[in-house]
Amino acid sequence: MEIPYTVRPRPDTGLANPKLGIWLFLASEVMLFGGLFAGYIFMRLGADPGMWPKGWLNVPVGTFNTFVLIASSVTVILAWESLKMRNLRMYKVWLFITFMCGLLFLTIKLSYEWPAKFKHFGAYVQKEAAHKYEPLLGNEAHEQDGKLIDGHQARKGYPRLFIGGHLDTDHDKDAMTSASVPFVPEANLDAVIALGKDEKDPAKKAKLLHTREVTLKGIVVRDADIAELNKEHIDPAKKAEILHRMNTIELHAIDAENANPYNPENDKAHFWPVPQVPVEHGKGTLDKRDLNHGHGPLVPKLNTYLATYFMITGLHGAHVLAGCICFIYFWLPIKGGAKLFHTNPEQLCNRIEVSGLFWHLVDLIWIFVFPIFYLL
Amino acid sequence: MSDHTATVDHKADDHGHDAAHGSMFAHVKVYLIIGALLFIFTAITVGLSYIDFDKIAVFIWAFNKIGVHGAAINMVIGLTVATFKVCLVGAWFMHLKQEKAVIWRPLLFTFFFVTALFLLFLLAHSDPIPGSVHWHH
Repeated sequence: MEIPYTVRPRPDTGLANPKLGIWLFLASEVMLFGGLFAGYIFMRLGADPGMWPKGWLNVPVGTFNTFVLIASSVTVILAWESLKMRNLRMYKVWLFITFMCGLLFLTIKLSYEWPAKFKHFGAYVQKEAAHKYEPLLGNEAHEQDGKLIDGHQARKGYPRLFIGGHLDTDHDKDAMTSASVPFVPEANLDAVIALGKDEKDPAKKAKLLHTREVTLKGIVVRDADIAELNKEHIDPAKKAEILHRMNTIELHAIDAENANPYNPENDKAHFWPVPQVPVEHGKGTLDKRDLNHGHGPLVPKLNTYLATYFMITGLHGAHVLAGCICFIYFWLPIKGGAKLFHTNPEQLCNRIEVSGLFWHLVDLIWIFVFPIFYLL
Repeated sequence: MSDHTATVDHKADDHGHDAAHGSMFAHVKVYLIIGALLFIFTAITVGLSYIDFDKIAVFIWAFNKIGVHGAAINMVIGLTVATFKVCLVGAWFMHLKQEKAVIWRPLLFTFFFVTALFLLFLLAHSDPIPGSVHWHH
């Protein structure tokens, strides 16, 4: 079926169909993202001071990506203007740059920004257990509970303690996450040992079982312990001792943002990432059983911030991808693409205008995503 | 007079490219200026996020009047700059400035409702039903 009025304006609306269509679509997109943003802002401002994760995103990278998208918004218009001037060569140049900008944006997002989250682990200490660790962290919040600070009454109840760090290798990740029942000591330990047990290659197996030292910033599993536990006969008392030790986390590093939720400095944006403040080594140990269920890499299930972050940037990324697909389609020398220039240039013009309008919306959404998630 | 008009029309038809060239060039200039403004305002947005507006008396006074406190002051200022950038993109890049009423009239509704959505957070900060929210100060 031939879609009518793709070039000529409809007599009743005075517009070509695609234009009215895309604007109605964009209006619905605005409402979709508006709802998501509104939900995020509501939660962000409803959080107690210092309780909302800050500094988890890389501001310089976000700023760069913003510039990339704005630049692509300019180039897509230049592509359209070139078409209007019937300059096929410049049209192809500008559209290709636009496409590459979109691709660059997605590459940064998917090869750096998102994976950086997956290489971090985070864990919240259970509320009931927080009082055990508060004094070790130099955190005065437990003492301030319900008292007056700077004329404001501190909220009742302990804030959520957050432990964060790097997952340097896949093994670290497995050690942190693969336990089927995370807070039962034996199950957790078995999962660590299973890494070696399942290995077919004897040399690798030996390596995994005897020489591997799982070192997370926060969790240390000694290879000597693993070897000891793999022995045929093991003294039950010694086993219990090792199991206990392996289920305590040495507090090497505590996420600086949450070290003291009442410090206003912790609730500020920082252009360059804040260096982690190390807690004195061996100052205290953390029982894994005191962690909230669901600890692990920074993925949506960890907290509301990450859930909304991945939701909104993911949906926005899908839009960028859609735009890229459109642009490369209109760029390629195919019937619906650049070849259309020779048969019906005005229709190709309209196609670029409509996809350009969509692209500007993608840019608009990012203009809101950037300050809301990265800066505020 | 009619001769003159005819000449212009004739020119536009036969040498459309040449006639359009001048205005196209002017368009491109405008697009580049808007692009540069967007770059500048992105930098301004980043800069503003390092200022604690909830510590500056005049901002506290002004925003508390409309029921905005604490971190929300920075949020409102940040979103205002973002909205300004959005207006630049909408007016020039998306051609809403010279668009037909058939297009921008329905968008007024979108604008109204999305603004209402963004302002919903005020409900978490003000006390629309007196006495229903307990403030800690």
